[in-house]
Amino acid sequence: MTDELDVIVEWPDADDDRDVLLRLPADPTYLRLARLVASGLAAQCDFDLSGLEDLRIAVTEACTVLMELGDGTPIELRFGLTDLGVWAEATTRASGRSRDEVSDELTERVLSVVCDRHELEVGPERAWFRLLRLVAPVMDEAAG
Amino acid sequence: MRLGRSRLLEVGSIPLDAVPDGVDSVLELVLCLLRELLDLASGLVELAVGLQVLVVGEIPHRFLGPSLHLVERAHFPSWVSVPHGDTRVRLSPNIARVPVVRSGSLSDVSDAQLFKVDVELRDDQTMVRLEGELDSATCLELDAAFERAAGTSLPVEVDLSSVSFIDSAGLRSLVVGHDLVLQGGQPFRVGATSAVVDRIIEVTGLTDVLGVGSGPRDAGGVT
Repeated sequence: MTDELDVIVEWPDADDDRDVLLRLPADPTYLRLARLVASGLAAQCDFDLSGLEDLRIAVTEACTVLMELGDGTPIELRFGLTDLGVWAEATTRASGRSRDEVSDELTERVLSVVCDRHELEVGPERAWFRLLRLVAPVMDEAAG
Repeated sequence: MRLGRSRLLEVGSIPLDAVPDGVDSVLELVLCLLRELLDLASGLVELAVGLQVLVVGEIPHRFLGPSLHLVERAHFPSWVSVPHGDTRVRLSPNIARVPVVRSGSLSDVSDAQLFKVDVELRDDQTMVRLEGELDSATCLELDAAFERAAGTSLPVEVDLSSVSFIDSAGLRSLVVGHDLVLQGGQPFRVGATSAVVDRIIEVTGLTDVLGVGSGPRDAGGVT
């Protein structure tokens, strides 16, 4: 969300053989499965318990938002590891609902706390949610 | 969907005659066994990939209710099964004890734990206890519990000490429940919390709104 962070971390723009792909039915019952995968990936980084929980919350929020924006088709979730943390990109087929129809102050407040960066993109055919959770807060280091 | 190869392993059992009298359907019986299983499994397993429940064998006559056809139609009822599961509860009327068996391996029991909410009516207050993971898949149960609690016209205290996960949907249900109880003229407070819940409530600025850790809050206490 900041210029400094944009310089340090770029969104991945190409498939990586090490990416983890998950296809979830658009049913909240499956949210815990997304959290389980996020936990497994976080275990490969040096996340502390708070960081791990943040990532689990962030992935849940991303999938929940897309389930509301989507047309009921499955959520495609891609996870990747960087030297700095874990990123995830979720996408589904758009239903035509706008971002404003599903935006919620509490969700945004939670996301702003648990993610180092997140963005929602709603197109005419698909919607995407991207998030990044760093192992260590880059901005603190940059500021310090 | 399954992960890995199946391997049956008995981790515990529950006697049929220990099933509470109030349990009168197959689905309720399965839930009882599931809770027993989770208690037994806690601390014993290393890798949790989920949970499934399979009912096999004849069902005792006392448990034959209108919900039986659901079990027959789908051996893995969605409300008691979790994807990637590998736990089976075997029921048999022919033996004194019902074996609870597990196949494969489990890693994190909290991930396999079902959400549960209890509303307990006391003399001076209504206690709402939550257990498990609270997200958009489970918060409707909490919404219904708060409606029941608000209908008791007693002060409401919420126990979140056994909640292992909460997201914005769960927080929203807490806020809505809080508002509902206060609109009914009764105090509302969140009593015990788990570390996970306490942290997210604090960082989202809801500690004071929900009255976490404070004394009972009256209906006029929130601005």
